[in-house]
Amino acid sequence: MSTDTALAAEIEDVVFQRRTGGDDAAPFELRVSSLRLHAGEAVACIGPSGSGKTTLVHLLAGILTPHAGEIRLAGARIDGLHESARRARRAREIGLVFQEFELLDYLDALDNILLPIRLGRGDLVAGAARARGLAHALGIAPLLRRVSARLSQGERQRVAIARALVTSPSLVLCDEPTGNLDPESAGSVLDLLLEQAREHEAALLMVTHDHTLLGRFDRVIDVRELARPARRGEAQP
Amino acid sequence: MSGLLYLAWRHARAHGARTALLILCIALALWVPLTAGVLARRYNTDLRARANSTPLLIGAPGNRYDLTLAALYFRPSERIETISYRALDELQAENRATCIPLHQRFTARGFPVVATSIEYAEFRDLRLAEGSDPLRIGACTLGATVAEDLGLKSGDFLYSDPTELYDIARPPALKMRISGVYAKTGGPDDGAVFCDVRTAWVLEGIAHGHVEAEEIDEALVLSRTDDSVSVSGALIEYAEVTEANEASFHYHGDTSLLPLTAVLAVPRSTKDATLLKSGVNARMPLQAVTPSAVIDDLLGVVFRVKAFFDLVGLFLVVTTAALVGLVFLLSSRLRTAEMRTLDRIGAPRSAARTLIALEVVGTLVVAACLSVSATALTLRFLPDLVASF
Repeated sequence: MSTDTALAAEIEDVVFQRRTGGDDAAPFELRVSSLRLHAGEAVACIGPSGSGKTTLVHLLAGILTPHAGEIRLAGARIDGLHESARRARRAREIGLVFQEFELLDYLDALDNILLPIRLGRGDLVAGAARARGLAHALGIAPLLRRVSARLSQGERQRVAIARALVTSPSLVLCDEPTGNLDPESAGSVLDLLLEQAREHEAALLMVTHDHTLLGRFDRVIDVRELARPARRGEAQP
Repeated sequence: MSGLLYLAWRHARAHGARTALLILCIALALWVPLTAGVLARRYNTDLRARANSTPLLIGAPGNRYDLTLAALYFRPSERIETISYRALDELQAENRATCIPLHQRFTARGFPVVATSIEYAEFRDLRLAEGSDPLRIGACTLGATVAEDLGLKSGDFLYSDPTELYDIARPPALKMRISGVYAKTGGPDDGAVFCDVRTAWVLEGIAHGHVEAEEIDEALVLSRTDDSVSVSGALIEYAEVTEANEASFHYHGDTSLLPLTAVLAVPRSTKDATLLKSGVNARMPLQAVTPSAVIDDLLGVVFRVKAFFDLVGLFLVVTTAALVGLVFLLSSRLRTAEMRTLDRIGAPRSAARTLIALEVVGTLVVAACLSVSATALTLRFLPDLVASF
């Protein structure tokens, strides 16, 4: 991926700390010196459990705020924004795909896809048109009015991907969306994600434990090298 | 907010049975005290209005509640004793009040027949919707509800109800000509049949007319002599006062002893009211009562009972509110994952609370609308409690 491409997201000298247990337990700390995600770039994020992959995703999404450093989304800082502003930007500009897909069972597929637009007060008419287009591309157009509780696992995956892309986000963050899938299904979900993200020129960061999929990404980062989780008092690299 | 409102609506719709059950429970819990409260207020207002507009009632000694309820609301009572027509003359002779006779012991197709004088219509401000007042013996004027329910109008006939079906010595049912219909008043007068007191005495069997011997159908004649004719009991199936036989109607015995059930007195002043009431209670074998005081006493008892039911209603509402609160609390716990998803996607911080609140408020609003509608329907179709008191 060319470095000339526009930056979708950027992290500089971020420090994040969180208490992990009782008063005596050392707090968890994540440090990220530098991370850049370019538009249309697909990046895999690997690392062992507890190394800070999900924390990194949450920092980029604005769900968590760092104690130090800067996080930029499309060139604009989000770490200093008020929480309500961060939430609004998240709904509008970031697509999220979760491990369990997390569809709302009482909504049909179309309403699930439109959820970020409803919550972010976006243009519902334009959003619906875009949702139908995505549904067509993902092969779920005939299922739009089916309640999500009655969708198969594969259909739910596609609805979750459409939901992540419906706002035309500049950044798509995926937290182990293939974690519970067999290798064949995991590959097809990833292909769909990569295809749609590239088509919409969105940067994609996917947390994964599945090393067989890494070859399909533009870049792979190990959170231990990038972010170096450290216990307080340890010497920093 | 509109997005959350939509989600709340979809969630409620997706869980339709639960939502309907909640709405029904809340609506019922609200309907019971709401209807009871409105009914009690209306009951109170109507009863007091009628009582306050009636200055003084005079009747036979006995239960003052029976006397008042019969004379004001035409409540049928077997226990009420009659007074003589002479009492009316004596009261009028005191010249302290306009005295209106009342006789109410019979019914016509289930509606009370109120025998009185023309002054009653003036006193109650009864206006004719059609026809005329019941000036002639055997004529009657209907209250608006009676005319509406029975589909009768001026010129039609109405039969009085027989009092003793198997008593061959009974006074015959009277075929009354309807002379008019009063306009709706919204009070007990709407549900009554008004006639002259002389008509009531015909109903009592005290006054009657005779059929000319020459006019009797020969098939009904059992035997005939020079000075008498014996006829079958089938001859007199009902009595009817016509222009032809009106003159033949007469009373046997002392006319001053003819019965009344009450006298409605309209004193000329407060002083006259006091003197008349004390005079009647001290000197006459009668009782004079102030209806407003009697109704106040009665409602005092009724509203003590109502206070208990208010407490029960409050308990019902509080219990239902607690159960509904529990349902929503458990529901919100079951929806933790959903709320976390909304939070991650970028919903406002208050979205979870707002979503639950919208569902609670929506459920309450629908339930409140339902209970108000049910109350309105109940009040619309419930029989007039004052009339049936």
